[in-house]
Amino acid sequence: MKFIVCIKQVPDVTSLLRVENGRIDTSAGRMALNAFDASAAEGAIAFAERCGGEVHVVLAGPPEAEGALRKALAMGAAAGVRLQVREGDAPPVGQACAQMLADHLRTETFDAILCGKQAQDTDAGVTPAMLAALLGLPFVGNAIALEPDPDGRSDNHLLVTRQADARQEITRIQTPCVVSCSNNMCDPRIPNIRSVMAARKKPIRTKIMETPVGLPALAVQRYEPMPGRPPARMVDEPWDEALDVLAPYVKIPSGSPAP
Amino acid sequence: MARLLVFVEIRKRHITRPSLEALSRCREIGGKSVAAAIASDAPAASFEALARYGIEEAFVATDPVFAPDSSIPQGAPLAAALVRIAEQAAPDVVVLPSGETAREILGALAVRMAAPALPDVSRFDVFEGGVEAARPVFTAGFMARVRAEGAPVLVSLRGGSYAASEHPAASPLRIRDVPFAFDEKQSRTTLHKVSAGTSGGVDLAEAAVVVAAGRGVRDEQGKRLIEELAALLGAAVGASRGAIEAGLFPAASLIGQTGKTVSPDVYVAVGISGALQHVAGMADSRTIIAVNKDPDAPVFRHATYGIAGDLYEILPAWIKALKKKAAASK
Ligand SMILES: Cc1cc2nc3c(=O)[nH]c(=O)nc-3n(C[C@H](O)[C@H](O)[C@H](O)COP(=O)(O)OP(=O)(O)OC[C@H]3O[C@@H](n4cnc5c(N)ncnc54)[C@H](O)[C@@H]3O)c2cc1C
Repeated sequence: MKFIVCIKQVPDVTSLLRVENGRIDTSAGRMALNAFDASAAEGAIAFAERCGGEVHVVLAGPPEAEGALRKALAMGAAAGVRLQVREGDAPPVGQACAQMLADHLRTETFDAILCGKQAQDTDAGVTPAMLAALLGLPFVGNAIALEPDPDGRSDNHLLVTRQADARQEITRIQTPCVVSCSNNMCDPRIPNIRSVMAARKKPIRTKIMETPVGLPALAVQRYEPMPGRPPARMVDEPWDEALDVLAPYVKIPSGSPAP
Repeated sequence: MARLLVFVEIRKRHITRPSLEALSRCREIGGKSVAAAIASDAPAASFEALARYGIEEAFVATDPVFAPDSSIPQGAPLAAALVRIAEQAAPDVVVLPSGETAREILGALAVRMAAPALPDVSRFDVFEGGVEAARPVFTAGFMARVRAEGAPVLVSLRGGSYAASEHPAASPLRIRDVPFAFDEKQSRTTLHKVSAGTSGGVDLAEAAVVVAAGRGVRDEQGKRLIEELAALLGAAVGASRGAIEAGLFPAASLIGQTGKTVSPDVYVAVGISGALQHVAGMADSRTIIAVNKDPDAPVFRHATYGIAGDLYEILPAWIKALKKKAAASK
């Protein structure tokens, strides 16, 4: 199987971020490989190690975002592509980003495209399904496991376990396909020094593209701090304040003896 | 008046609570110009409930592919049916209840309807030509105020953002049958196996009370205490990643950024530290009661009531005290 994993660099959400005049100030924080994309990369790399195959990574972003590509290469991907918009073009957002990835992926060969299920900054999670729709490929979202087809006759299928709202579904999906991955699929490996050094020699190609235009309009007007909650009231035994909240919900089966 | 179309999700033959909340919010905004979209093998079972929630028009795609025991994954047929329905209903705004179904199809709908998509909003308003909404971003660290223009604009609405309130319709429900037939060969996916994944009988998205376990619940004995308290309260059982990693609770009970978003009347967090990825899935609960033996645990920054102590001592005492309180109030 040949996998292409779409990855994004995001501000580390656990670092110090502040809103200032309606914008999020990320200057004090670090940038990181989106955690869900790291799981997608790990899923692909582990699959290829187990069953054969190779893993490539693609990222849309400025030169500073190359760190995320290097990270994926250090984890075990073979090569990377960075999609860069033409000088003067606006950075692609929303559907424009999916369109740009799709335009690139149409020029590549692959069996499966993996994405993280969402980005930790926008928490939107719409790009994977957009990609599948743009490329006309079958799609499974929120995968927690990836296996080869047990019916080993053909290697043009994958078995994908999906966490749905109320059940788990194991789907047999025909390749080429698009799968979005949960971080519950696997914990991304932490590359050792040797892999980090080796990754420096792996190829990263830069591809200049036009920002797709004329796509549905959508704008963040401003960011705000989350509405806070009043501080907790700490309660001690006999915990009456807390238990009085719960008491109305108590279901005592009728006829059962009182304790 | 803007026309609103609400995708009504049906699970085990019932309309899900987040769908009813979406219907209620849309009715509040749009009055009579709200229609329901249903994709089902047996849609008639839902009509009575729609009328009870004030809906007077339903667009219905009927196909055996939507049967509960269908061997076709539901994403592709649902997206295809909704595109069909939207062509006929010509809405200005399409609202879906947030959840894994919406997450799987929203992007496809956006592409096929050439529509902007606002996923997982916690508030929204409709204006002439578009939608303004608030959505938590950065692992629910900030709120983004967003605006999208177009017809339609697609919105998925987080559960618990608005109350589901009945409001019987003034006139009978008009059914619009939408011609739809799903070609199974198109799907290129089949369901190989399905496993039920939650512990206990109460659905997390529907529950008034959620009792959630964290890594502090470290063994079968602790699990039994959680389940006993949940059963006593008619509550659904949730879990943090810590508790699921310990192998005590199924993955489908995960609450948080990776798992589900819940907003019950009462959320009881037991042995959960309060990592931001967990809080992202429960911060909108009306009352939060947290039990943690570490008085400095971050979960207390989000709780309404905090109890610093050992869950193995506290839960048995609570179960006893609650039974006593309930018996006394009879
Ligand atoms: C991309 C990403 C997505 C994630 N998504 C999610 C998600 O959706 N949901 C989620 O939950 N996590 C998620 N996580 C993981 C999250 O960051 C935390 O690691 C996790 O929530 C910790 O679980 P916990 O609170 O149970 O465990 P811990 O952090 O280990 O906390 C255990 C707590 O139990 C307390 N305790 C121990 N013993 C007792 C006792 N006897 N009585 C009372 N208290 C006790 C301790 O004081 C401690 O506070 C995600 C992480 C990443 C990176």
